[in-house]
Amino acid sequence: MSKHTTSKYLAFHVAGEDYAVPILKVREITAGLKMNRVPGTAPYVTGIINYRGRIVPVVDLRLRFELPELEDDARACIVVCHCSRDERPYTAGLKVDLVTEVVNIADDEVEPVPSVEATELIEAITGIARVDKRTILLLDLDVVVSLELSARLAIAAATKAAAELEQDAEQAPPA
Amino acid sequence: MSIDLAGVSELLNQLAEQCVLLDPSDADGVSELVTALDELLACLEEAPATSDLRRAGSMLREGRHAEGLVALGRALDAARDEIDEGRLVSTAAAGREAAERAEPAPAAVEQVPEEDVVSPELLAIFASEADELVVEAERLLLALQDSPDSAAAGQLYRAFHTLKGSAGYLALDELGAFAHEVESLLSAREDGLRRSDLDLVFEAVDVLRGVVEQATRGRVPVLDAAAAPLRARVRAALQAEPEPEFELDEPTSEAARPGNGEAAARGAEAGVVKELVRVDAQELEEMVDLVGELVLAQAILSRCAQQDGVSPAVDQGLKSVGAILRELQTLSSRLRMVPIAGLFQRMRRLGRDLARTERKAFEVVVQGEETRLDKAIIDGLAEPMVHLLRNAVDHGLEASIEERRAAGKPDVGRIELCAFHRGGQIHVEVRDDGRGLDIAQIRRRAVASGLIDAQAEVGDSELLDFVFRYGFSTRDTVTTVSGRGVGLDVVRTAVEAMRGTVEVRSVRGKGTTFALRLPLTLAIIDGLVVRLGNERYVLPALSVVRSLRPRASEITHLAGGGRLLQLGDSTLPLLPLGRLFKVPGAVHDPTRALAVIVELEERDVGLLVDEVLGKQHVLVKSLGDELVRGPGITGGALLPDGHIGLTLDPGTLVRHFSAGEAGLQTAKQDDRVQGSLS
Repeated sequence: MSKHTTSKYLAFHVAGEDYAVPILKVREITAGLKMNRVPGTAPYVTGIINYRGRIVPVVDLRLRFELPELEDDARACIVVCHCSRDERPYTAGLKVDLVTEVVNIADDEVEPVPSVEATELIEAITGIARVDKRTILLLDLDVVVSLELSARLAIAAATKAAAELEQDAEQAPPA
Repeated sequence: MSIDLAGVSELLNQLAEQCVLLDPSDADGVSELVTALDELLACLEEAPATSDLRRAGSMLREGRHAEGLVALGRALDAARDEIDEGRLVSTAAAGREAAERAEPAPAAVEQVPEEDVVSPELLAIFASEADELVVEAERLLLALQDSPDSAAAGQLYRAFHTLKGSAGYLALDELGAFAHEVESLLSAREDGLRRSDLDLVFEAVDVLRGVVEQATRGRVPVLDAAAAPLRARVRAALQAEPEPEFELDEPTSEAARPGNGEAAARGAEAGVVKELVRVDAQELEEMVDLVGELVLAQAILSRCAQQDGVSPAVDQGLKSVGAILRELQTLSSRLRMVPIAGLFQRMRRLGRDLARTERKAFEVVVQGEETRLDKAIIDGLAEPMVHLLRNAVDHGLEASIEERRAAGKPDVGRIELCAFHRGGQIHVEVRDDGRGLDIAQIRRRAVASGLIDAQAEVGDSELLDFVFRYGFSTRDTVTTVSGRGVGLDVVRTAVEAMRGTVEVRSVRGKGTTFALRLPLTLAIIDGLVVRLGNERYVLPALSVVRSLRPRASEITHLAGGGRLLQLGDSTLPLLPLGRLFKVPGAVHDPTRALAVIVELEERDVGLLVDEVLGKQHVLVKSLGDELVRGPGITGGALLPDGHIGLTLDPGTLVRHFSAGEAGLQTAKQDDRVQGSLS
């Protein structure tokens, strides 16, 4: 989409991998904001935060990519981004292990994603860049927060929850 | 040195990076940023995106760094989109560059399409002015329909005259000519407008609506095909011989005219001129949000002051800031309150059209037009009101004058729309003096659909409530207006989405009234904050009856897993919120928890929580419709202790967690049995 040769990206670590998003989509990097859990949301939505008076959902990228949760999240932060969902503007936070730097990536340094691993979440990666001997995966924000993937996961989660509730009910202790 | 497209992008990128990384307290960094921003602005054309950039720049210059950075980030993103689509970068700069390359000047400048001759800003101004004129014209037309009024006719003429002027300013020649034709018709009828003239002008208003719509979408408006025959008729009317005033086709009676007294009263009121200011709706919204945040910030400060202890002077200062803020908050939420008159007027217009298409004689009378509601609620009411009006026309009113005469009613049917404040809520009612609902038939239909047992004793009001069910219709045929049985459930859903209620009252042979109750504002609710584990939830305080610690003897466990609470003579379902919401660390043993008793339309319900923290007014924010979440969670409230309390709708909770429903059936039977024994 970009006609220009170089763009700036914000790079961060998630479970040992480097990812990046276009800097223009980033509103702010924040840490220490109180996380509020919301029942019934997809498992990778860790909760909502009060971002400048607005309620913004936070997606834990580790869980989103089906990776194990971060044990020690002392240096974890939330990258508040501006993306779109169903073609409407949407603000969401991404919980990452560590924000590393702002990096310039030239269009010709970006390679397409190899179709080796055929997981759904591959749709979230727009390309792979090699910078200073590092491999950086470029994220498509809209896909990360997309309704499609969420709906499928939500239905699965809801079905599971309903089944669990029935199980619990059957096992309820007598008065 | 001219800046090229790549250079502009580079500048944009740099600015965006700075936006994210700069610390708002870094004054030097900010002033460097502002300089770079000016450089960027020099290369861009004037457009809404550029003004946003400028506004952000002003904020930064004024020292509002944190805000300015956020605004700048947003504006840069929007600007980037514009540039990618080939706009914004000054064609003058691009042209200069091309000239320097000594190539033939690109057609870039000449290729500016016709549409760009009208700047987007002028078009937006035209759209809003024209919209006002259309609303005004229709109001005047409806008044003129009731009774001749030369003052109103004069105002109507001036409305079209103004429109003609606006159209001329934007070189919209066809539109201007159209306005001129209508204006001429209006001025030619010095001795009073005839019914046929009013009809023509009504149609003209419809055409103008289409124009306003186009302009609002940013398109240079053109008259659609329907306009040509209308214009021909207007011109014909202008040249026709003056005709004697003729009577309306529909039979009239004394009751038909609301009485010149009413019109005169309206005219007298119109004499009081209120000074009004047009305000950008988005900015008003932001302002109300900021006031809300200010109230919150003061609450936090107050808390800290209490905990840490401060000097009496500071304490006094905080109290007075608090008092001022509460007033400010009331005022700012009133700013968003709009009289329901506009909506009622649209309904009257719809009524008029329906009277023609349905060939029924009736009038739509309004009361309480000046009642103010949150604009968001008025927007949400539009669709339900349309449904209710159509319902009243189709189902409510009798099919023929004979039927009405036989019932001893005036020939012309009467539909009333009323709005008033009462008990901290807004009431809106749609009343018709028609046939009334046939309860016996509703009962038959309910039994046939398996909703109730044939032998069951069901109260009238409960039976009437069935009409709100999806697919429930006592009509055997479907008409174009209604009868599919899907109108009233839409009404209920829409009203409940605004935390309101709707019920119906009816007397067979006399008429039907649909009564809606709505909160004063969607944004602020009186909430009861409760704690579950380490989480906060907010219940609607007005519905909470009491809270108590249940004793083991008062709790019954049901086979299906649900629980019931014995409270005095009644039994209510008890919902274990901690379990249902899977709250970590929540209390599971009901005898160690608190049961908050909530009153709902049909029944009471008990909600189990760990602790009740207190009552307070909370500002409710949306969680975003797109966020898939548990049932009954309606929004988030920013609480002074830093938590976000999730607001709950008890009705939805009860409906959804079926363990409660199953328990309820049993409970009802028990109640009845007990009742017959006593």
